[in-house]
Amino acid sequence: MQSKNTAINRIITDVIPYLPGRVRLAVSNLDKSILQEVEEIRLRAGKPAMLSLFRRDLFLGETGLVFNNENKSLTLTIDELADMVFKICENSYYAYQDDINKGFITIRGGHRIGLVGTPVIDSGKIINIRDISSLNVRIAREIIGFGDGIVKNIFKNSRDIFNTLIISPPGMGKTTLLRDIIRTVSNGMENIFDGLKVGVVDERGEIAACYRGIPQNDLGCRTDVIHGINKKEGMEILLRSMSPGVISLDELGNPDDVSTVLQVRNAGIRLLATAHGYDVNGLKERRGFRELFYENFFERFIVISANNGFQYEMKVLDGEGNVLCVDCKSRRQPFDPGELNNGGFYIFPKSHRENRVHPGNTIIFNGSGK
Amino acid sequence: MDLENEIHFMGRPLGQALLQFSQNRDTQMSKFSRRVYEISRDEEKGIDWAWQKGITEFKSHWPIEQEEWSLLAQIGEVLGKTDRASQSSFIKMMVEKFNLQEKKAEEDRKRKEKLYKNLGILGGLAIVLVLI
Repeated sequence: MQSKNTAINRIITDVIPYLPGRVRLAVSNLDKSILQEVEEIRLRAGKPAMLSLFRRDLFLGETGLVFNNENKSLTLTIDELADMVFKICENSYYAYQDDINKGFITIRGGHRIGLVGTPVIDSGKIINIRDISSLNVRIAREIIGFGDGIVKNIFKNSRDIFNTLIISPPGMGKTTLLRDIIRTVSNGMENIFDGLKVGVVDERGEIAACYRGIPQNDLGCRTDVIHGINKKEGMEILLRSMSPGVISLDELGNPDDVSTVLQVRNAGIRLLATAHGYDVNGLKERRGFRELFYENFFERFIVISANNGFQYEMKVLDGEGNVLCVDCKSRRQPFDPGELNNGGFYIFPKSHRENRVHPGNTIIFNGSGK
Repeated sequence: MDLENEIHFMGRPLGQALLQFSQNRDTQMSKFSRRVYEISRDEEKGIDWAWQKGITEFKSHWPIEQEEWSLLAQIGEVLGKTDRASQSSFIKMMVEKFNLQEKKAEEDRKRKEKLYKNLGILGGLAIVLVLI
């Protein structure tokens, strides 16, 4: 099961094989404490390879050393990027053409590779992207127990949940939380919640991270996943075919989805979704939400925000906006770089780095909210 | 299901399409597909590379002309590198070309058969003449 993997193992097994040779070598030689912190690997043609860590960017050198300026970093060519994309596509552009046209490809493990270049347009529609000039490898993380401190607030009773919307700005763990809640709702909680059939519409492949049809992330034992389809059609198929108790999806907000969401409600099915935003009020007048708020569709909101002290604050509100629960979690700390004589630096002193990250460790929060 | 359907209808990536194709039948071409899949999997190289290596391996086993080997090599160069519709029409075009080659080979065989038959008759006549 994927939850036993560390962030490092996931990068090594899922991401590194696709990287261009020189980057592969450099990332393989990276200090593990840095590798664990990597959120994005940014590759641009003619520009230095870069790692995005929490609140800091580092330039990647040939040997795996990282720098805070680009002087010694490795620079990629457009051909290297093209080869990487072909490899990601398993030597089959046709199998990933729709993904390329949308601007991203999801690989095994749920890692998303964004790409930009020159779109080829035919009859007003993108039919391809050529001369790919930038790739962004976004590392997916599955955190078991991320939502344990708040999930009970969305249970209506032991066999039902409230229609719930998770609101957060990008990169704050919205999808991670959704995934964790889906797992809990699907599996149930002993003596508290029996578990419900959950249908997941995984449009971008980030929730379940299906690879050859099999979810790579643990979404629980009562979960059915339809992936690579737009939300509207996905919800309709799930409604018709899988009789779910809950339908779950990421990044709600397309005005076209509203009628289907209301159809879901009319069928007595609950909705568990996420949306980009900072607070409830900010969504109320946005197209795609206005009607749902008018209908008082959502009964619970989970708002994720960053507060001072490097913490995630997860606030649960009811449909009227009353705060029911607040949970804070430590987020990854910014590191304290130890400068080396050769210009590179490690984020911990050498003595501290040895065996600091054990490959067998699983990233698990204890759910205590501390 | 043939390779074109595996690509066009099922939308499988090439490796899987070749594997699936090879599992459904027991022909020379399915053996070749299987081998290409295995080379690309084991050596972690692209399908185009594995395809060319497959051709090298099979060259001593298949009694076909250089022209046909060139056609087969062309397939390896194009497979996977365009969209589904283009892949589909490319495969159809190559099948047509192979059909033409097959017809040519058949005509060649018939022509040679006739030639050998005539040679046989002439040879027979020559022997009879010598004996007389």
